[in-house]
Amino acid sequence: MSAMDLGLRGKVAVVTGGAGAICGQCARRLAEEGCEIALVDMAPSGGAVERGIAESGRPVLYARCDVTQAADVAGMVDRVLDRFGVIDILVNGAGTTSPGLVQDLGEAEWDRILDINLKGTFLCSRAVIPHMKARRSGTIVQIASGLGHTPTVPGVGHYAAAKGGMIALGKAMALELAPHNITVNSVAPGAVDAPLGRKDGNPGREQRLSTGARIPLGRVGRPDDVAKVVVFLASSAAAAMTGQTIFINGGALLP
Amino acid sequence: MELDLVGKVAVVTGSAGSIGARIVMRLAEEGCDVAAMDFAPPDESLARAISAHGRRSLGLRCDLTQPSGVEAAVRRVLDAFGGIDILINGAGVISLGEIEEFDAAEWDRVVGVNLKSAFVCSRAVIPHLKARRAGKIVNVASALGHTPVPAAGPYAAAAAGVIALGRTLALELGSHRINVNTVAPGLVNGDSVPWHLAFTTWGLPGSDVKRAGLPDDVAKVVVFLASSAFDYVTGQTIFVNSGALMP
Repeated sequence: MSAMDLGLRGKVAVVTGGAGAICGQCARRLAEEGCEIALVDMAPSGGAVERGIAESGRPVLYARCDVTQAADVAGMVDRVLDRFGVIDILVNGAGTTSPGLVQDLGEAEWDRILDINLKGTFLCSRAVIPHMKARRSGTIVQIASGLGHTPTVPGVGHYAAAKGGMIALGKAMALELAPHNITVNSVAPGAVDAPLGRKDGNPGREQRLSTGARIPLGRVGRPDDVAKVVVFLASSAAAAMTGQTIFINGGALLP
Repeated sequence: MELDLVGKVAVVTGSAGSIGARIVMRLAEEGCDVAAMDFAPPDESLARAISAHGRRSLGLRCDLTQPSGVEAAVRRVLDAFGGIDILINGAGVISLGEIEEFDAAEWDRVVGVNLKSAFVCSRAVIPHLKARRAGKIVNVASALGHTPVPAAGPYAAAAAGVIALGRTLALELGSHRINVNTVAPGLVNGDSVPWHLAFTTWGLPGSDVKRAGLPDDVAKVVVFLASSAFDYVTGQTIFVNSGALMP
């Protein structure tokens, strides 16, 4: 363990998209640092992530929730507060994508991708902020995407727009919440070897290898590459950072 | 989280400055042996504090802009510690004035200490990082290298150069598993940037900023960038400014 005190012991972290590969790893890492975890996702259960955290002896609550529905989100926050009493950390990680050139995108698909990635971030943040403000303390970390800064492949218009919106929303919240001692930062991963990343135009092993060969560090990302930086941003080591975006991409994009 | 810094050898330039000294201490606390390099003579109290953590230190005085002196210093680090894993390019100096007031010698001094030193020290250390097939370089630049304010032109230009040098090195060294990133602090207590101008130029009222940063705020971020937590981050600029600038 680091000698540095990361200030995470006993903190309550809400991780949306927590049943997925990247956010599940964020939840595991935060639990290892001593956080109590509320996993939020659409799946019927928290699956292997929930089991793993429970087996490690850390408190974990699975709250099934559609982050695009305000009433659902309000209910989720109530459940977390009932169980843990407070919320210290919010990881806005719920997200999904689909391939499609802008000219071919149906309106319903546009709405679906924008709702899950961007509106869900807005709704979850809005529901959690009052509880952070009341304690003059809190940290929000968003899982955006490098595509939200620079779309590098065709067919990601809706996803890029949503992730770019998350980055901008994060900066707006950082500005609004700085006087309340609440920080808001985003990570922007590049290609990650996870189910969502594979869906996102990176389907097979061969293609992953060829993508990796074009990346300065020579490989595509892993969920843990993202999770370790999320832990850093959630920790007191990043207390003087807010409104920032950290790109995690092996050098593939140097914005 | 394991930062994998125990037993690593770190070279920190600008170790006589407030930020550099904090970086030296934080790295030693995480288990690094530290070579502290500066234009100024070694700080004996820093060496004692490092040995109190059970780590080795080496204080080296040299002109960080002169390749021969830097290369000699690097040889001393290798003799003492057997290798180098981490380089922190922390040396910096600011000089205030409008561009038309600067004479060429002062321009050269500011650009030399901030930018040329990063080139000279990186070039001297890179072969030894390559030999280990792993390494971390962390540059300490400034938010002014992204968004300048009036009356600090050479410093802003040098800081921007450090950011660009870091990106270049990231591309050149990625295949050797060497990460290169840059920290861009905003206002840090004790420095002499005309920050009222920064707030005006950046369009943000000073009251939105919780407080000036402390050297330790920067040092903690530098430690993470030098650690395995940031193994997949390279070529990036990390802004540490309490929200004063959100590029």
